[in-house]
Amino acid sequence: MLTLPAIRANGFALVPLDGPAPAVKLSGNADAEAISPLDRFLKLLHKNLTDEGCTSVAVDLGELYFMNSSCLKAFVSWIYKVNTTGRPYQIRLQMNPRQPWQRRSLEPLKRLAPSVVSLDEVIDTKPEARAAGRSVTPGDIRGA
Amino acid sequence: MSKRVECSAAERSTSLFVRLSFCPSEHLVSAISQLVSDFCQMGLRDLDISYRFRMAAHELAENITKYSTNSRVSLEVELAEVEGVQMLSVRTRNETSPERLIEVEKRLKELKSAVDPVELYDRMIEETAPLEGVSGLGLARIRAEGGLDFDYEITGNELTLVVQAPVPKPYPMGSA
Repeated sequence: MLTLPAIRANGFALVPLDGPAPAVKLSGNADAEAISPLDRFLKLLHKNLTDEGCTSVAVDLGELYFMNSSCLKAFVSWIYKVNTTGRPYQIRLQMNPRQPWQRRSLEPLKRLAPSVVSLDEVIDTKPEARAAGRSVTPGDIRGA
Repeated sequence: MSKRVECSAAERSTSLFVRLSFCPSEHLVSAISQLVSDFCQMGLRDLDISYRFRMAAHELAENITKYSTNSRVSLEVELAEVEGVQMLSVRTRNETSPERLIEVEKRLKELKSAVDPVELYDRMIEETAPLEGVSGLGLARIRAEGGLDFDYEITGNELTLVVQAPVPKPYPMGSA
């Protein structure tokens, strides 16, 4: 069980998820306002996971609509730290297949440390949209 | 150093054009990039293209906010036919310090001449991974992840930067 505080900023949230395996969820738009909270959260997460001897963590990105390069850099630093300190755990980045940008943005993270990072597509997190059979709209990208 | 980034009027036929002049502010960046995304989606109805240009506009607007030395900045989006090819472009103009101009021109030359932009981006990620602080990955991300071409012009302390890509023919305005 992760003992991390949830972070909810303007248009962005980072929340530890309940469940048998360590997991966190990022949602909203990861832009300039998210950089510092994300960086702090990932450092705390790393400490939490290593202290607890965890072997993997899942990162649910299903409702993340945008990530700027500074927030990507926070992930780069986290992955670099895991990869250069004995690879104590695996990082499973869970993407939303309805948002093709995620694969393009996250593939470089896997290439940085292929033995640490995996990319998985997850089931649509907005079942009502799927049931209605509508395609993704600009509003979906915005996260409105 | 000066590079020509304009085409003559005879060579281009503009379908859609938006120019934003604004005071650089962190709070405006997301609104600007969202507007670019909506503009692209309205004209092309292609989520992938809209996202690539949204990302580019966001990174460029963040750079303007970080590095402009005065409030005379602008961002333009244009969908135009250039020599028979539909081109979508985002163009930014801002004044910055001589030191920043030297740094950004070096980066732009490297990106423009890269045979494999993805390999260059991966290398930059590896190089910056151990470093704390500013990412320095924004322009490389536009080139590698967005698949967009760069051009630029430096006049005095003013930097004009254009990112662009060929796109499908736009939908007629007003069509369902």
